[in-house]
Amino acid sequence: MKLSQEGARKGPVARYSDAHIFTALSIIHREGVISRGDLAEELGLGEGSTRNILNTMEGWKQIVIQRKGVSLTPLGRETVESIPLRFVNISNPKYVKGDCQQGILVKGAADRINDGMAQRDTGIRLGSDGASVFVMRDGKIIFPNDYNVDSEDPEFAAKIRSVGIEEGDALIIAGSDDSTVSTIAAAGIGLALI
Amino acid sequence: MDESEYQMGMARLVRITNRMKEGTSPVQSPDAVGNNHICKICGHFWKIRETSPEPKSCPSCRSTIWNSPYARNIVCARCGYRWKTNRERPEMCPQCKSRTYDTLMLKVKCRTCGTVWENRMDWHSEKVVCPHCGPVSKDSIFMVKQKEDVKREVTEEEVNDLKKQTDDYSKYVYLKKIGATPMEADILMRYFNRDKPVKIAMDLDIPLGLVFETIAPYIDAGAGKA
Repeated sequence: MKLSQEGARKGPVARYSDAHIFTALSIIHREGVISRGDLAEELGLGEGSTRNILNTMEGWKQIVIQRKGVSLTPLGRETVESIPLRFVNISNPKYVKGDCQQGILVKGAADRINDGMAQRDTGIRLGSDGASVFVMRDGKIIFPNDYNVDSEDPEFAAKIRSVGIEEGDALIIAGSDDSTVSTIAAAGIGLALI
Repeated sequence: MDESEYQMGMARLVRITNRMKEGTSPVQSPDAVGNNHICKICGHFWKIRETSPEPKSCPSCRSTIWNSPYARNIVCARCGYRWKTNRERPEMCPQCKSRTYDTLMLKVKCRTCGTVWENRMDWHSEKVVCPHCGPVSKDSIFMVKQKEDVKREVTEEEVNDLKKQTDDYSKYVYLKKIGATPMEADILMRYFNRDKPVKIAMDLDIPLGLVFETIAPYIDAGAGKA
């Protein structure tokens, strides 16, 4: 799914992507109210780029910018809740490279995953060191193509189940040395899947 | 008047119409009228020959794009440079590199006094005349964004009228009447039928931002209220 329109914005190339926009929405949803400076730090962007993202989202009626900070509008909250993506805290150095790892749950995306290479490539393009995909098929946690996590690594399978994965869902874990990069990579992979 | 005279007259009319459109419109003009070919570049018309029904070039100007869909002459509104193209909308003027070569008057704003006015922005002159400050250098003014100019305002009455439309077809007709494109009408119909923006974007396979940009003026005008 694409969020912003290509070619809609004139001038220099933007330093942010759709992944930054989705991450910004998720952070504001999580925090309730957040200042622009704090948001810029969490997104790993400068204040100027963050201002551009906020202006875009304000034009889309997703947020309101007030003196106390930035918060979501009812439409913004509805958007975050209806996009079938959710950040989850999960990591495992056995499957994913990088000290800082970020998981994202993609609802109903298991059918769109073949061997997970396309998702890994998307993650690498977005700056991560690697990314792994886990899917739930026939009640089993599968690490594509056919590694059964339930039988081979039951401890980690239980951990995956604890984040709320359901039949037909996919879990992506992106890793790098920087938590911001991992978050953006995870969001980018997730958006490319829906 | 016999048939051939009528066709010659039509060909002349097309040529005059093309000249009047010159420099602005990418609208496709015909490359044949009756039994005559007509060159979209120079306006020359000649009889279609059975031996060569699709000539490679115009016998008068030798242009090989004489019958391309968007072939036309363009005159830059900034510097007056003339060039031939067969592209729907060239990026910029080859001489002055202006991207607004097809807009005769531009809305500009003075950095000193903030006055907004329309100016031809002649590429050859170094100064422009601000209605308030008088002659100023071109660095002292900037162009007001075109996108903001064309942003369509939706009034509360329009939203109320839209709500009064009983079925989808009436809503669609009304939206087209108030200037919505088919895509905008489709998005708005789905939105007013209580589809969520994310679902609309996924169903129509369009960027989510396009959905928000389409519905935003209606939310401003009170359509968001139940």
